[in-house]
This record gives sequence, C-alpha cells and structure tokens, in this order.
Amino acid sequence: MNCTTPILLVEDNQDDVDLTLRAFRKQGVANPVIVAKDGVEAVDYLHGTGAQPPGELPILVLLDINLPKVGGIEVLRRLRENPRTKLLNVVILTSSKEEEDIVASYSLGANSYIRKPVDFDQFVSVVGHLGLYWLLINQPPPCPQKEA
Amino acid sequence: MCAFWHSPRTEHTEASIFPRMHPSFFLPGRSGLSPLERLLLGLAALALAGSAAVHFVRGNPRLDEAVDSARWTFEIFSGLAVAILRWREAVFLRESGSDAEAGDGPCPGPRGCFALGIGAYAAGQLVWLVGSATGTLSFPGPSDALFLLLPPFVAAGLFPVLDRELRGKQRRAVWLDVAGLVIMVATLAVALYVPNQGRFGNGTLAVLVLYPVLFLGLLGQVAMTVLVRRLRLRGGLLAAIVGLGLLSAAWLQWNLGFLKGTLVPGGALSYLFSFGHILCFFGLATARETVSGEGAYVRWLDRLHRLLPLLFVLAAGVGVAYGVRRFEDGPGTGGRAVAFSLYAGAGAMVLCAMLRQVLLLFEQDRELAAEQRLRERELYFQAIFENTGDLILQLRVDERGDFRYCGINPAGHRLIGVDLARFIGATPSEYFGPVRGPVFEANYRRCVAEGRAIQYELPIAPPSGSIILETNLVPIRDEAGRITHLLAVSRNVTAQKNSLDAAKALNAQLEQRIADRTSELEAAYREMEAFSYSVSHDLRSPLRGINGFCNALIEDFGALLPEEGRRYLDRVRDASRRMARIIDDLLALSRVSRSAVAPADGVNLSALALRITETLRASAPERGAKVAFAVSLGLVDRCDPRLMEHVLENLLGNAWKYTGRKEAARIEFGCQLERDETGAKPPRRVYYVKDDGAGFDMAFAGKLFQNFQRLHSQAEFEGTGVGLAIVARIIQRHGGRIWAEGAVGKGATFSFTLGEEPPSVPSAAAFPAAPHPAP
Repeated sequence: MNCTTPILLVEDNQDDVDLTLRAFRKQGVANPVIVAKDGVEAVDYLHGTGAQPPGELPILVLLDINLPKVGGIEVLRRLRENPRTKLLNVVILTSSKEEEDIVASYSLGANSYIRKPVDFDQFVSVVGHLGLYWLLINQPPPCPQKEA
Repeated sequence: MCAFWHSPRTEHTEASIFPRMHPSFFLPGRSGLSPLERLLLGLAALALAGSAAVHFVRGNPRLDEAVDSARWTFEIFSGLAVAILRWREAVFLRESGSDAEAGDGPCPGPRGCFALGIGAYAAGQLVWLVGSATGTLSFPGPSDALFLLLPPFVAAGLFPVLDRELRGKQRRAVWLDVAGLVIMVATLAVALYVPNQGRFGNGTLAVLVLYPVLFLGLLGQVAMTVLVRRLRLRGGLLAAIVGLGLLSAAWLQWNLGFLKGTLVPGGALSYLFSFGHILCFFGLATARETVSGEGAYVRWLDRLHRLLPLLFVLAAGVGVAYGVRRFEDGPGTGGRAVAFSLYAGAGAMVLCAMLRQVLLLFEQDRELAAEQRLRERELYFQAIFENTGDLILQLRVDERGDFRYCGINPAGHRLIGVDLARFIGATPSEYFGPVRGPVFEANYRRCVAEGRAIQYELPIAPPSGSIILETNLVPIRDEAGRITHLLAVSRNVTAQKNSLDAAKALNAQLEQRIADRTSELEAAYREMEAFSYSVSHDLRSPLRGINGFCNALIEDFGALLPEEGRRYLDRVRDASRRMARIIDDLLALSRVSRSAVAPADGVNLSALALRITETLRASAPERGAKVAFAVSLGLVDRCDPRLMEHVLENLLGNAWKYTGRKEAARIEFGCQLERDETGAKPPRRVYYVKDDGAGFDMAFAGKLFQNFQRLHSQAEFEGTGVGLAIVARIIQRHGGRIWAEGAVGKGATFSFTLGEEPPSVPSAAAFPAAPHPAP
C-alpha cells in the first residue's frame, strides 16, 4: 500500500526514538519516519511557521505525552483545532497509564492509546501490530488539501 | 427576717374574719340621680308636704285616708318606675359590655329582682286600693301576698352579692348569722303580736308575723352583706337600709294597730310608710356596690361582725328576762305563750351564735395551720435566700411602672457590694446612675411586657472588678394578676464564661491547626501524585532503554559475545522487567489509595471469581487442568466492582501462584456467616479464598499485607510484595477487614469482610511510601 507517506514520531527520548525505529525496521515498516523532538517541533512541522511551509501530512502521528516545551496533550488539542490536521490519525504512545491521561487523550480525539511496554520483545510486537493496523488495515482519512 | 431582706408586709395589719373581697359588678350603675328621678323625688316630697297640710287643716278621716292612699300609690309607682329604668340601664351596660370581659360584666340580675319586688308591692297597693274603695278588702287577702313578695325578691337579688365569694364554713357561718337575725325579729314579732291576738285566729297572726319577719329578715341580710363585703354606706344603699328599716317599723306598727284596732288614717304611721317607700324603693333602685378598702370604717365593720354572736346572746338574754316576766303574768293574759316563744327564739339564737362560732373556730384552725405551713415555708425559703451563692434581688413595680429595689440577699450583697441604705427603695437609675440604670430597667420592662420569666446575661462592674451575671427574672403577680414584684436570681458566670471563651479560642486554634495540617497533607498528596507520575514516565523510559539495547546487543552482536556475556545481558533484561513490574504495582497501589470507592449494589462476586479463574486457567492450560476451582455461586454484595475485581484477581492469582509447585491443587472461593458472640450485631459475611499451596508461617502473618514484604524468595515464587497491600487497602476502603491464616506447606486462607467497620478516613499512612528497593 502506501509506503511513502511518512510517519511522524513525536518523542524526546533518543533511546526511545532509536528503539522505535529499530522496531519499525524489524517489523518491516518501510514508511519514512519523521522525528519531532518536542511538541513545538511537531506542531511546526504539521502547521508550518512563518518562515517554513508545513511538511507533508503524515499517515500516522505517534505522540508521546511527556514532552518538553509543549506537552503531548496540548499538541493533540492544537492538531484537532486546525482543519488541516483535524482528521489526522493520532496514536498516543506513552509510558503513562494514568487514567487522567487516557481520558484527556480520548476526549481530545486521539485515535488510539498505547502504553509502551518496557520489554523490548513486547514493544516490537506492539509496533508490529501498530504498523499492521494503521498502515495496512485502517483506511486513512482523505487528505484535506486534495479536497480543498 | 434577715437584715438585707425588706419584704413589703401584707396590708392586713388587723386580722379579719374573712379575706378581702373583690369589687363585683352585681350592683352596677351610675352615681347621682337623673332629672326624671329628681323630678319624681321632688313630686313625692311635694305630695308629702301637701298631704300634711291637708291633714292639719281639714282633719277629715275620709279625706285623710284618700290622701294617704293616693300619696302611697304615687310613691310606690314612682319607685317602681325608677327601679325599672335602672334595671334597663344595667341591662344596657351589660349588653354594651363597656370594658368588662364576657361573663364578668355588670350583672343586671339584682336590679331586675328589685324591680320585680317593687312591682309586686305596687300590685299589692293597687289590690288594696280597689279593695278599700269597693269595700271588698279582706284580711289576710291577695294584697298581703303581694306586699309580702317584696322582701323575697329583694333578698334573692341581693343573694349573689353576699354569697358570691363565700366558701365552705365561712358561707355557713354567714348564713347562720342571717338566720339568727331572722329568728331574732321573728321572736320579737311573736312576742309583740301574741298578747294582742284577741279575736284573730292563728292564721291571721301568722300572716301578720310574716311582715316583720320578712322585712326585718331582709334588713338583716342587707346588714350582713354590708358587714361581710365591707360595703360603703352611702347614697342609694344607705337610703335603702334606712328605708327598709322605716318600712319594717311601719308594718310592725301597722299590724299591731290592726290587731288592737287603733289604726288612724293620716297619722304619723302613714308618713312612716311614705318615708319608708321613698327611701327604700329609690334607694334599692339606685344602690351601688362600693367596696371599702382601708380605714377605721372597715375595722369597725369587722369588729361588729365579730361581735354579732354577742348581740344574739344579749338579745336572747333580754328575751328570756322579758319572757320570765310575762310568764309571771299568769295564764289568760297570753303571757305564757309569749314567754315560750321568747324562750324558743332565745334558744335558737344562742344555738345559731354557738354554731357560727364553732364553724369559725374550725375555719380559724385551718387558717392557723395554713399559716403555720406558710411560716415553715418562709423559714425554708429564708434559709435558701440567705445561704445560696446566687444573687437574689427583689423589685417592686409601682403604679407608674417604676421599679424599686426592695430586697437583696447576703450573697448578692457580697457579689455586687451595694450600699443598702441607698439601695433599698431606689430605682435602678437612681442607684446605678443614668448610664447603667436604664440597661437594667430595660430588662425589667421586658419581663413585665412579656409577662413571663426571662433570662439574660449582663456584665456588671461592682467595686470588686467586672463580672458577668446570668439572670433569671421572674414576674410575681398579685391576686388580680397584676405584676407587683420582680424576682431576679443571678449567678456569677464569669469563670464559666472565661473558660468557655478559652475553650472557644482553643477550638479555633485547633481548627486552624487542622486546616494547616490538611493543607500540608494536601500539598504532600499533590507532591506524591507528581512523584507517581514521574515514576510512571521517567523511570520506565530508561528501563525500556536498558531492556531494548540489551536486546539489540544480543541480536546484533550476540555472535561476538561469549555465552556467559549473553546470559548476563539476559539477566539485565530480566532485572529491568522486574523493576518495571514493581513500578507498575506501586502505581496501582497509589491509584487505589487515590481513587474514590464507588460502591454498587448487587455486585456478583461469584461471577467475578469465575471469570478470573477462567483467565488463570487459560494462562496455563496444562496446569489449569490439574487445579480444581471451587467457587460458591450466588455471592452478591455491595462493593466497588472494579476494585473488587482487583482484590479477587490478586487473591485468586496468589492462590494460583502458590499452588504452582503442586501436582494437583484446590482453590476455593466462598462465604461464611459469622455470628457475633454478644449478639449485639447482626451476623456478618466473611468471604474467603482458600488454597492448599505453599502456605506461610503464621509468625509472619502480620507482614503479609505490608508493602514489599514477601515471605518467599523470588526464586520460589515471583512477586513484588505489593499485591496484598493493594488488596488490604481496597478492603479497608470498603470499610472491611482482611486477615490470613495458614501454615507452611498446608495452604493459606485469606478471609475478608465488606463494610463491617466504618470506612477509615484516608490518612498520611494510606499513601504509598517512596519506593525503597526491596530488602
């Protein structure tokens, strides 16, 4: 299917970034992965700044909650407020199992909430399921630019 | 009497036979005479003068007789008119109800009786007139019956005036007095008439005797009324008494003249009748009831009243002496009859007097006893008054509504230290000055206005320093219900007040401290939440790194490492996994402590347990086949289903875990009813999870439910030591209790109750401690 549309990974921890990329690789996910190190970077990429036009819309956003500068929940809120990214598939991928976080994420329209397991084997299997589902099985929303 | 106590003495300086009477409304009406009454009186006087002139000038017996008859008729009928008018006035007074309350207003009854009596007398006069004009006059005839109706009617009218407030023996004594007087006049009349009986029969004599008996008897009743009720002798009442006396005398004389045949028209007797008619009828019609309060007059009345028996005895003595003389006149003169009637009358009078005295003696005994009791009570109260620690004040309320101090007890004197000479008789403003006085007076006024006891607290400043008095102010009423005195009983509550204030301050301080502690606690709680949050994120991330990169190392460079090196890396991964589990458990424990318990009715614990056992069985199918689960069905209770699932998961999971080393195992979940030995409480349900696994040493049972406390090594059974702590906390938050029994190698039983004890307030101890590495 669509193997060229990028995946946006919003994650501040380099270890987690590397492990996630490794897991993608192990599961044979070929889509390019764009990494944003904090919330501001993620929003800038998706909405663009004064100097820089917005990047290509990703097929999937993997969003951590605990992020420097702007937290994941806030990023999610901004994405949902913007018509360009309103329908974007956003999967919360985080260490937190706090009920508040889960409730807040779903209230703001997260498509999925996944807790990162500590064990790498399990993590790989989770990423595998993720890729399978969101990249292959799930029908992504139409690109708003094309509609416009 | 104590020196401080200045009690106003009762006004009865001289004891009287009867208590004071209240003015009544039986003889209401205005004083003075109306123009019509004046006119009639004037006309009657003119008639008197005119007929006297005719009598002296002409001396014609027939004319004299006609003039007498006409004058009498006019007097009687004008008296009747006045009586009827006054009666109407009384009725009007009653109906207009002026200021009198219902049932106690002016009573027109007596005036009606007077009018009826005078009416009967007037009718008798008419019959007599017609009889003498037509020569059909008979004696005794209908005119006598009508004349004789006057005294009974008047007596009936006056009856309530005298009788109204008499009770028991007093009443009997008074009516015995009246009877004595009647007997006296009857004896007198008999003694007068019997010797002159002549040709007249006993019947005629009886009728003749009835005149003085009834008229003089009525006079006696009126006199008794004046004595007992202490009526003022003035106006109509005085006229009525004099008139009644004249009328009685006139009839006595007239009847005597009739017997002797010496009646002469136009004589002095006819004027006696005239004066009797005018005074008696006008007097009765206008008599008013004025009760005399004080003074020599009342004292004289009381003395006279007391001496009444003496009068009877004297009269009896005179009668007997006269009787003895007449008896000596010998037979034929009627002397014996007179003597016997005199003896009988004298005896009856003495009997009356004696009976009356005896009755009054009894009455006095009773009063003396009552007085004695009163005195004893007074002593008793005086002892209280003088020895109580409370301040007792007495105030008099005078007619103008001013308050004057009239008594203070020793304790009060000690407490507020007044200058007695100035204090007694002073008003609050006079004694305490224009600033503090009105403050006291305001309370006194409030008490009088509300008409009931009031309580208040007031700070006062006697020389000894400021104190606070708690006062009960009680109104004291006289017989008429008027508030004449106030009694103030005050207690020094300064110490209580101060300690109360201190207690209040202490309380407030305590509240403040609690609030401080609570906010501190809340801060700690928030800190703890932040901590758990960061534990959740920040500790797990590096762990994931450790685990992930070890894995990467094994995968990518495993071939370069010796076997032992790879094993070490595996152990690093295991350790990171275990640490992640510990972190998760800790977070779960903190969540349980923080989340609210949401109990629901009818949670099916059996179904929950069955689901968990299925999950357990499915987790290791080949072991599941060897483990026998025995779950009691139909266990339904009130609890938070989510938390309860956690409990059962933990307990059943534990049982599953600790039976893991056995070939075949049995795990039970059930419930027992446990009765309270004292019977005070209803039986309670005890749930239990029982296994026949590794068990534990009861010596360490207390450690089971503590954090990170484990009774088995990691190698024997995996675990973090947090699960049971979570279970215990959930049970505790349900208000229940959990305990465990077991023995090494013989299995364990975990029992718990739900909602047995009141849910404990979350305390600092309920929050998870900072995670220490398990020892």
